This record gives sequence, C-alpha cells and structure tokens, in this order.
Amino acid sequence: MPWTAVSLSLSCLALAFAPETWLSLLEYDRGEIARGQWWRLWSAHLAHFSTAHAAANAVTFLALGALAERQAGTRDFVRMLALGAPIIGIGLWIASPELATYRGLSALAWSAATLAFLAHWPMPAYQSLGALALGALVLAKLVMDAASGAAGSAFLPDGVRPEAGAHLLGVLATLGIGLCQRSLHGSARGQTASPR
Amino acid sequence: MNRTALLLLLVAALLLGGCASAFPRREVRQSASVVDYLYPRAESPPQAEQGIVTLRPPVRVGIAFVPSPPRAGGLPEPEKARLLDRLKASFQQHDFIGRIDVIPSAYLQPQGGFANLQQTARMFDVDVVALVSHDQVRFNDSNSLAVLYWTIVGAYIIHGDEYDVHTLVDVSVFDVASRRLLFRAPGSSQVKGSASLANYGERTRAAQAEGYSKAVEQVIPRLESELGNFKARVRTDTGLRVENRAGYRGGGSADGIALVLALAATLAIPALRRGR
Repeated sequence: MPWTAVSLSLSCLALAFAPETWLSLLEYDRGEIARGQWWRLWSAHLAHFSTAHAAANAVTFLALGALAERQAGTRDFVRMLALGAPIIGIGLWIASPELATYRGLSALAWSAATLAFLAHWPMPAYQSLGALALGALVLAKLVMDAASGAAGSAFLPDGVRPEAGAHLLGVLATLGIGLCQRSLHGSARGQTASPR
Repeated sequence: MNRTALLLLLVAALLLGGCASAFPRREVRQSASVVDYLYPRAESPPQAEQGIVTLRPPVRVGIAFVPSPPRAGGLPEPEKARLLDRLKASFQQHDFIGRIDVIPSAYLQPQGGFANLQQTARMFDVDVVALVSHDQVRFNDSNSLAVLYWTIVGAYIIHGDEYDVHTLVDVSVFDVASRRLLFRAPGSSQVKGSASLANYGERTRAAQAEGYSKAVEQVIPRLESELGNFKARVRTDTGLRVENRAGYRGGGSADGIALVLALAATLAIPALRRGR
C-alpha cells in the first residue's frame, strides 16, 4: 500500500475543510517567508483555495503518487517530496516575484509523475524513444503554459491565477534530484569498486 | 379677390401645413460612431498603433456606449444600462477577465478622444474598455390606407403608416494603455411594422428599442466567439504579452494532461502488480 501518497492526499482533503485562518498559516506567502516562516515552503502544497481545488489535486496526486511510490520505493518518494517541495517554493520566489500567495498539490503531482518516469529509466531502446518523445511533448506543453501564463483551470476560484510555472518547477525539481542522486550513487559505487 | 376668399385661402393653407407637420420625417437617424468619439474632427488620420499590449489577468473591463453628439437623440439611459448588462454577461464567462464595470454615458464626452477614454478608465480602474457604437435609421412611409385618416376615426384605427428600422450595433474592445483595438463584434437587425397615426410615435419607439435589443442578441454570440479567439491569439501574437499583476494569488491546479496521466497511472498500477 502506498501509504505516503494516500496520507498526503487525505491530508489535503481534510485541510480543505479547515478554517481559512489555518490555511493562511500554511500557504506560500512571500512576505511571511521573507520574515522567516520557512515551513510555508513545504506546507503550501497541502493548502488549497476550495474543496473542488483540493479534491482535483488530491485525486491526481493519489494516482500519480501511488504509481511513483510503488515504482521508486517509499524512501525515494519521501526524499523527492521533502526536497522537491521547497525547491518548487524557492523556484516560485525567483521566477514569480509578483506572486503574493500560492497553494496547491499539483506541482508535487507532476514531481511524482516525473519520479515514476525516472524509475523506469534506463528502458529498452525501442521503448526509450517513444517515452522520450512523450516526455518532451509534455515538457514543451508545460514550458508553453508557464511562458504564456494563459492556462486556465476550472477548479480555481475567481481571483486566483493558475500558476502553471509551478508544474514545470515540479518536473525540473525531480529531474534535478534524480540526476544528483544518480551521480552520487555512481560516484559511491565507483569509490567502492576502485580498491578491488 | 375679396376678403372672404383671402380668409378661406389662409385657413386652407394653415390646415394643409398642419397636416404636413403631423407626419414625421421620412428618415430618422440615431448614431454614435466610435471613430468620431476617438478621433474627433479627424485632425489627423487614425494610424495603426504599433505598441505591445500588456495584459495582466484578471483583466478589468469597462463597458460603455459611445456618447452621442448633442441633439443626436438615442437610447434612454436605463435602456442602455439594460443592454450593457447583457453584454457584461458575455465577458463574465472567461477566467482571464476579472471585474467588469458598466460605465454610464455621462462619464464620456462626445468627441472626447483617447484622452477622455483614458481619464474615464483611470476613474473606474479598468484596463480594457468595450465601446458600444450604434447606427440606427428609421424609414417612415405612408401606404394607400393613409387616405382614410381624413375620416378622423381612421387616424385611430387604420394602419396607414409604415416604419422600417435598421440597426447596427458594434462592440469594439480597446486596450486603454496602448490604445490598440483588441477585437470587435458587430450585430445588426431590421424591424418592420405599421401603425395608425394616433399611436405611430409609441409603436416606432418600441420598434427602435426592439431593433437595439435584436442587434445586441446577435452581438453576444459573436462577442463570446471573439473572446475565445482572442484567448487563443494571446499565445501566438507577438504584439500581445501577458504579465502577472503585482501581489496576485496563484494556485497549482490539476489540468487536462495531469488528469490523463493520473488516469493512465491508475490503470498501470494493477498491471504492474500482476507483473510482479
């Protein structure tokens, strides 16, 4: 059972019914983060703007997270969440200086999808070409959405802009973590192999 | 010519003159042109604005009727407000549009130009203004039954007068800062009918209002389609740039592709479990 994905999805749904004062303590708030409330870089992903917003993200994360946890293992999945969440927050800080507040689990859902993709790598040659092409298409769509800023969402209430850049950051964060992990893993293997 | 004959001639002339003035003019026009408003007196020929349009969603929109020149007639203000409310609903369906304000005609000066438009936009705090221009012509004709008006009773029951009302309504959406026309949506209508001399004025007023209403009905679907096209154009047109408003609220929300991936993952998990 992918407990991490299930518990995070359920937490999001439960928090959707929490009072607004609690949610405002959890959201990404640029001003408050600057004043030292660092936990918001992690907790922002659990807070949502409405129950519809929370439900759509929780269901998506549950499916993609369960697959990633099963494929990559709970340890790698938790590591991805723990490191990916603040990387997304810091990325938003740098890339979107106008963004005052942010909430949503969807960026981590994209991180989970990327982790599930990486867990299959390397693939047999005949599969890797198709997988790379599909990955490139999805990445291009995310880059286009982030660049145009024109993507819409039926789940967000009025006055809240879809932050498509967060999805791209979620993918890039996991790719970065995966590459670092593989190079560290490779160098550790190299060190243990050299004395032989 | 004796005095009695002269008196009879005068009375006849007065009576005939009175009859002639009882019939309305053959053509009555009500119009308010967006070109006359934005480029008053055509001092310099309007040139295409080349600047880049920067939109900061949710875009704040103002809707207003182009002011009519003095003594040009036109729709009463409550009727204008009712039509603008119907147009407002078309804008409300799009997520990139935020607040929408109906701007009363009193805030716009006839031939005010872009200076007046920018002043009003600042006052209402809107980024984009949809200007509704109109041109309505009413043709008045008498038919052969009009001869029965001489029976006096006929003036009340015989439909001896005909009207034909042609209306054109055009919504032009301008970016106030760059002065660029973003898109436009036209609509037209024709209302025909007849009336007796006694209720001609009342009938034609109703027909004119109906003409505006029908033209606006035609504008609404076109406006919605143009708004959709404009949203698609934002992605490709290099003259349009979308920027975020300072201090905006953002949300990470599952989109179509994420949901498809989630569905594929849901289907893949049982298959993987069986494979192990």
